[in-house]
Amino acid sequence: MSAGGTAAPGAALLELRGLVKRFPGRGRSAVSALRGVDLDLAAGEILGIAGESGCGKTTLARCILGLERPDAGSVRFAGQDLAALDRRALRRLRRRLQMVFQDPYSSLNPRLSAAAIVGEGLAVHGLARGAERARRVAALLERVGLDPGTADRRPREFSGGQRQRIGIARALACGPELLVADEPVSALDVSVQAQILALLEDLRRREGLSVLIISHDLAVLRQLCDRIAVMRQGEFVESGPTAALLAAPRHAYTQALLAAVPRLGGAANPA
Amino acid sequence: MNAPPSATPPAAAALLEVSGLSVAIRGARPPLRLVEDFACRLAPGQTLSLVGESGCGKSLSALALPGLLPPDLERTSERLLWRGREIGGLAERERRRLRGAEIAFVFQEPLSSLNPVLTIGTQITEVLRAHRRLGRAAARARALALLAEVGVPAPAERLGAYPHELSGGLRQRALIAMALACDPALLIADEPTTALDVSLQAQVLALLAELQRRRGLALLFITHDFGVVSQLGGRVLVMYAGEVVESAPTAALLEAPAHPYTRALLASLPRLDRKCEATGIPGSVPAPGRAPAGCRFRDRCGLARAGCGEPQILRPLGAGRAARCWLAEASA
Repeated sequence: MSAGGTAAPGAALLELRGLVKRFPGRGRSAVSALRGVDLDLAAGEILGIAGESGCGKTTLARCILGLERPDAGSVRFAGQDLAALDRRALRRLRRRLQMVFQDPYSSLNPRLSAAAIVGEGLAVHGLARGAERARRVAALLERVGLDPGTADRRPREFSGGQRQRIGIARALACGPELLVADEPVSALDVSVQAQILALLEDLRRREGLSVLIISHDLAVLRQLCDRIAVMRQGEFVESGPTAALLAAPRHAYTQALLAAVPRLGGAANPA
Repeated sequence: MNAPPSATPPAAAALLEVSGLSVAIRGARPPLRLVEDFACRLAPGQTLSLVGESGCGKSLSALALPGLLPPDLERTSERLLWRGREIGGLAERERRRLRGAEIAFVFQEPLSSLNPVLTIGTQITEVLRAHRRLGRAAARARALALLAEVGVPAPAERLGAYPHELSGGLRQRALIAMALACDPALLIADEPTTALDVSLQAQVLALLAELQRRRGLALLFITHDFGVVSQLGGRVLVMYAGEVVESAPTAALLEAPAHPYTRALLASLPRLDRKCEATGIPGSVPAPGRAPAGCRFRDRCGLARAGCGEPQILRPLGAGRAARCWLAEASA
């Protein structure tokens, strides 16, 4: 089933068509991580991918970023087919699509300062140096709600939520049009989850950033996504505008996922 | 006495009764307390959830109960009763016997709690042979029965499997089987479902509830997720910056949280039926020794006023509830 049916009119920023990715099994059968995925993401849209461990969500993210080559199908970003690009062109394109990782404890180099982590992309892509780089790093930290005065600190001196803000500032450094966020809040306290989700939404509102957010938690996706696509065993089983999909899930798997979300005051067992 | 008043009539004799429990860094000057004045009571078959953000002292409180703190931390308590007997001063040998036979733990990460180079069977039988002195064949038969009890399909095959060969859900079930090996009276579960998908989480919670019913197991459950707390039922202790700030029956607390911290936590929970408060809770949990005087939450509290700088006690509100906030109103 296609997740592109409800895409906004106009050219999609990201277009996936018939994406297939298999991993050769050791000795035994191969694993099909993606079995023909279609997806459109419009500029300025926040799209949620829901699904459980092993459904292929992370492989999908890696294919979108060009970190994994699909076995069949295409990934087009801003009209360009990723497969047709050589390494240098792909590298240039990567500035425009960036990743935010799940675990802010393991995805930041513990030996680098916040400034070095956030500024690395600027250095690698030769976008800014010296005082100009420092000025842009300070602005980035401020943009994600961190005190630029803490730029010299190492990751361990920050809380989990602050580390995830550093991860987002790093992703924003090169001025991307699309952020791919793989479980960006599942390692965080609820008190902080809301802040990070609000930050992503704010970036979209103020700067028109597109976000593809992957999560196993429909309640998290509910908070900020325009549309949700539900993935199971490498395929989308259902997609639609968030409110409609949650109010009237059609596929049995979506219904099961929804039923598993713990509710306050619901289904409490006697203790 | 700070023991929270019990919601249910004190019919069942308590398994565990704790008051005035503190955890401090050994030899720190000035003294640095990570947990202060912790109190709880648990009877067979009851559930108690400990809730709060990271760094509030939930895990330390739970580890302190059976004496499992790292060596640089020390525990003091006014009262630490296990089946009516004071266990605060037990020697390590006796404490180990208590842990083996009566109190079992299940931790968050199923993969890192299992030894990767030993089969599941070896790890379960090891417990039985050490604490129960069972022979090889008897231990194997018991291990098989335990895996079946926790709903592991084809348990005979799984006995020979290594942890990496099992899925996350099966690993957590195997850990629960291991924890149940010596028929404990109390199971302490520290975020056992946080690393799992929602549907696996629902399965593990259902399993724990069933085990409680069948075995009369008392459950001390640590989590930061009020959705999980809601499913568990029983009672809740909300902890903030090393202190219990609210104690209440779960349903009543979810219905009408009394402490502003509990309210803020509930308001920031992502929910399916509405958008959560975008602000979450501003700021972060103060490091030990850095909390403001008086109410420790007042820097982050929207209701804070001058009186909040006074020392706060866990004040009974009636109906089995208590809150460490002078502004909390007594319930009818």
